[in-house]
Amino acid sequence: MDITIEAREAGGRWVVDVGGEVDVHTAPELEGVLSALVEDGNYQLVVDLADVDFLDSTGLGVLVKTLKRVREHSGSLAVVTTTDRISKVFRITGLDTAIALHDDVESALD
Amino acid sequence: MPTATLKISPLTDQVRLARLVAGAAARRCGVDEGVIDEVRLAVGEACARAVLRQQQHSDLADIVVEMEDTDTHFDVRVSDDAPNQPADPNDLALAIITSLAPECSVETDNLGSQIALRWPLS
Repeated sequence: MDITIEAREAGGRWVVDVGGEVDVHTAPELEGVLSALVEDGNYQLVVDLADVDFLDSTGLGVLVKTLKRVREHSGSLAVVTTTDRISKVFRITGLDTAIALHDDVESALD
Repeated sequence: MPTATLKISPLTDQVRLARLVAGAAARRCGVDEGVIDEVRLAVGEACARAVLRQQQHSDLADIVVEMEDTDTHFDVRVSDDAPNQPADPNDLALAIITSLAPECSVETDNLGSQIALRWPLS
């Protein structure tokens, strides 16, 4: 299964809708999209993982790296997770305390 | 179920195959259905770590994934033969692995590395 990534503007932020699996093979593609957004001066980001079936540490690493980069510009990164399968990965690594997790894009944009 | 062995090339696109096979084998052996996702994630992390270690080494030998049903447990061993490296390519991977597998050991020396994982059968 591949990864699907679409980026769109919403509520003054960029929302990156991700689908499929984010693992050691596909995570670089997500990193490329997020990196391009940051390099274009977009520092308020929402990553929607609602349609993601699998997330591993490589994917987490991409999110952490992006968080660090946007924070250098007083920006923010919020993540949408709707399944325990994906939320669990954040919890067991403790990253649920570092990255703001939301149940839907609307609350992430608030 | 006899021991099954999967060899994958040290390529990132092969890691998915390994975690799917491990999940199927775990289900077949009788690991609790609620834990199968954790088996896939832990084995996937172990294989990804092995692939990255092997890629950092000039000799791109296969990663070996051994799966065994011991009647009471489901065991998985992921091995590479990349020599010891100054730093692990992904500390988060080890954190996830040790959190998900009830029993886990990581051995690394100049001949390679092996991660051994064990889950009880339901």
